[in-house]
Amino acid sequence: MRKVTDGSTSLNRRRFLQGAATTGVAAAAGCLGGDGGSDRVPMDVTEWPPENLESSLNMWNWYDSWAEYAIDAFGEEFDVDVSNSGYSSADQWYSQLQAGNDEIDNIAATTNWVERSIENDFLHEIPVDIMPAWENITDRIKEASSYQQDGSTYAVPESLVLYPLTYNDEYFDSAPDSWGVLWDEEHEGNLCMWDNATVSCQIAALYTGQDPIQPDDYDEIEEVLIQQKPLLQTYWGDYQQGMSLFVNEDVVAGPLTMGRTYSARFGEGAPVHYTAPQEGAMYTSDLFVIPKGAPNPIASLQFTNWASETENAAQLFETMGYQPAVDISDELSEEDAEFTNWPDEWNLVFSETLSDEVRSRYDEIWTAVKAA
Amino acid sequence: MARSPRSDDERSAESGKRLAADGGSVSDADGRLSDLTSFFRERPRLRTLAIAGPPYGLLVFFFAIPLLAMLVVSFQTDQIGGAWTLGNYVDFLTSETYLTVVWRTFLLSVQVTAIVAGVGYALAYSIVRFSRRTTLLLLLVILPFWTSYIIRMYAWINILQSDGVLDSILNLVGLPALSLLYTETAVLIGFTYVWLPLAVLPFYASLTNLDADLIEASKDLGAGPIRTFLSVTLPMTINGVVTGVVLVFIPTFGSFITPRLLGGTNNVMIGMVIENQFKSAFNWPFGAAIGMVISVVVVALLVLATRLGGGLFGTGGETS
Amino acid sequence: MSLLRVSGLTKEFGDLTAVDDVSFDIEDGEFVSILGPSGSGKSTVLRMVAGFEEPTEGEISLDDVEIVGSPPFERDVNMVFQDLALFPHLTVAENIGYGLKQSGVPADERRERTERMLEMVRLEGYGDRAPAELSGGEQQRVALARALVNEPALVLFDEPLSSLDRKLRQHMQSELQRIQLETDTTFLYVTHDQEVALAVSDRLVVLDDGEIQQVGTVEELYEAPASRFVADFIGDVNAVEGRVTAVDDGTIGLDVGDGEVSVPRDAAVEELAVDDAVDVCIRPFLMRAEPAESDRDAVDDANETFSTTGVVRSRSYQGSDSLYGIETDRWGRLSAEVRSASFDVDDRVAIAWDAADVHVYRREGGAPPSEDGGA
Repeated sequence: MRKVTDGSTSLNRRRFLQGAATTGVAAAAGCLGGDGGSDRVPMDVTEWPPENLESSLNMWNWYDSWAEYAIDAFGEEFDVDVSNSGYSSADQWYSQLQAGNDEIDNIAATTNWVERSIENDFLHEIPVDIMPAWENITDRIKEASSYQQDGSTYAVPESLVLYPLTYNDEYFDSAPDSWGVLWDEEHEGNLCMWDNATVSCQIAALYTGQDPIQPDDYDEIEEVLIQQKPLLQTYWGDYQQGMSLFVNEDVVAGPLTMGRTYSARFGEGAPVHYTAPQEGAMYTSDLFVIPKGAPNPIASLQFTNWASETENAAQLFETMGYQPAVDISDELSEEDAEFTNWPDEWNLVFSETLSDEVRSRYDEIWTAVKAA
Repeated sequence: MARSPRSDDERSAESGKRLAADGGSVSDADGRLSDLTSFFRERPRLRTLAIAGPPYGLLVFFFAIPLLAMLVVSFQTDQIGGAWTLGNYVDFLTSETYLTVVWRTFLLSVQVTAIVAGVGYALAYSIVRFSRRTTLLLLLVILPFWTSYIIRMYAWINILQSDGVLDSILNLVGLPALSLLYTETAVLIGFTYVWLPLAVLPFYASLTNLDADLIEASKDLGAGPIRTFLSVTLPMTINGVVTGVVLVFIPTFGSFITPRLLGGTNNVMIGMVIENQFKSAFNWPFGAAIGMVISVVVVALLVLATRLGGGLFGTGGETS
Repeated sequence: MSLLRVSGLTKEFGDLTAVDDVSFDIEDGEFVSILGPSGSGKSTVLRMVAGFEEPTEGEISLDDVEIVGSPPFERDVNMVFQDLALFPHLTVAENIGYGLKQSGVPADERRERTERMLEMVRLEGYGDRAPAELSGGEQQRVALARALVNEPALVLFDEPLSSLDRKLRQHMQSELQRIQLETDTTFLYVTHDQEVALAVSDRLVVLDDGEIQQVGTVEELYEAPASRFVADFIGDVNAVEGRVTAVDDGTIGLDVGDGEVSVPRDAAVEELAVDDAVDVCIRPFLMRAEPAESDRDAVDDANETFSTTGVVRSRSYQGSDSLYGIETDRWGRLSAEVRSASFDVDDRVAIAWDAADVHVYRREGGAPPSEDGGA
């Protein structure tokens, strides 16, 4: 029994699962997802633009602020009645797909859950070749994400999610070039880590020069994390809390998301920036998918293309500070362009789905570190 | 024998008819209602079932079924349709790490419970004995419950953080800053604050029922304030104390938000580990197994504590 | 030297003066009752002696030591509470031994003294029971034993018997007297019940509205009540309204309607003047009554006798005597206590009493002496 006595969990759980999302909730659900909705499927569309859009669209997108923009803008342009269900945990929509979807048209899903959905045949194939906006998706993200199977494409990348090192750019003269800054006694008491087993262990893996997806020396990871403890102010567990640490200048370096770093810098005026240290930084992507059983698949297809048009993709950054999968540098102010610029020399490591074994070892290590 | 109740019934039936003359079809409904009442009156067992059934049904639906579901999951290798295994329990019970976390959680919960019980008892005692505005004060005690737990925790972050409200005040009066946030002290303060009302209410209830003459009798017989408290006040209110302690200890043991938001790197509690299994490690069976073990441990501790308390203090309060 | 000396004791609760300048002494070994109606301040006096209330003014000394200001647990005084206040979580023996435990008496001695107390109050073998398992009378005994076991200089009683039925109460009264004699302890007993007070006390302190009305032995109070209030409160009394017509060395002349009577000068405790409105009080048992043949037939309207005729309206049987309520021709309703079976309701009777038996009090709120001195 779980004692849920702490009341609600966190203010911003939107991206709670990211980076750690792997299997474990439901594997053998079978192929229950029927085609309860429209008779048409996205692959029926052979010429762009698709005709006879359905009149409504139900999406599940956890980029709340961007979704608000999309409801108005897309709705007006295509005369479609758009609604959005913000969610906090991917299993909320996944369990609907398992039970046989007849409601959801479009989902913004993390890579791991997309993989699982593809394996269970819950998703419609998408005719990306005829979609004009497909070309806007950057090559980096096209190559990294796994959303294709047997030559078919089942998703269109929406955003790039980086797990960077955030730092105080007044405290540091230049961006720290190594995760080692989080182990530097010079900054004792001014550092933080993220209370997230996968993120923290992967940082430690990168720091010790191991493969964060398949490390070979777990003991070393545990050892350096324990060694790091006295230097830390705290492990933050809530995004808002993590951001406050930087805004209040309680810490000068530690992991934070790009979106929160953006909010801290431009929303709160905090002297923060982010970087990918030379050992590498993890990143993943969120993707648009059209689940089988969607009642409005053609509107959903049109929406997926529309969302990847540069102007609309740029709104993801403008509203929330996240990096869309589309190159939007032309749309941005100089300041914003500078902020979103990921230098080519950055060593980015795609956050592949962890094996059950690695995931559970990471979890054990993290518990042991906190209990040490 | 049943003469007079019968005639009461007749009278009410009459008045029902009189109403029916004005209200049309009321008499039918009234008749059916009295048929129903007499139907149940003649079948006491069925009546008991009708009365006790709904609450038991609710308990089963909202408590027993989820608990059973968790129990089942805790013996599986995967959340849905996995193979049966004892592995989750073995992993947990043989891991020094997890047992350390449980031990730490226990120690922290005991500290929190002791502090809340002490502060709460003093508060309840002063409300009962020294104040006429009891309703207002109790309302103030409960008031924070109207605000979301997480918001209250953020309020404490603002108060405790370095250069926060507390430090500013200390600074004003010329004392050194404490920077309590992200320490165990901060966790204790946060817990004390959120659970205080849970303890104050039962304490208050038992103290109000305490006959003031007993206190005077004790003093009259030569016991000073402290001995009177230990040998009369406390034993007489022990039921309220046990209730308050249980209400505080259980949620503290399962907490994960307060230590995460206010605690530092060393304040890991088992609730956080369980939450993690469900929300980011996706190991529901393991989380369920930990939860099961913890539930059993906590229930056992409480039964033990209640027994001990009962033994130490006799049948306190029952005859008052 | 008195054991307890209370002097000038005053207690104010806000605007209310609950106890007003009360002074009295209690000798060692006495059984004294404070008697008064509810709200008279008697319990407040007791609580100040026990130490639960601080006096606003005045002194209380016990064995010549001032005790005002010292906490209850330091006073050599124990109390039997109105609701007994037995500790429900302790056994009878633990209740009794509670005080000994507080004063550090070793367990052996404690057990022995508790046992002796149980014997004294005739509850041998009840030690292990819970107070709730005992009857009301048995609980009274436990409370008494608990107050006595410390051998205090003074035991206070706050109307503990009021909840008992009459028969049990009478039994407990005699038990109280027995135990007081056996233990040679001083008792201060507070009650509103004059019957209890008269039965058990050596002396009484009558309190009304926070003030002492009279202090004295039972006989003094009954036979020479210092005020109309005391006369009323202690035993039954008849009152006849009158007016003073003359005051001289040995007698007071009274106009009691339809005629004058002169009463001994000492029938009045206060100085009376001509024209004072007064109550002439007479105990029912001092009245004579006989069948009346006709109006005024048997009335001997002599100067030193009060007499009238009337009709019997009620009677209340009290054993060998009965109390007859008589509607009199001169003074309204009076009651006379005479041998039972003397009369029936509606009988005409003639009643009389001697002037030497009355008490005369200036009437509260009576007409002031007329200014021009009509006499």
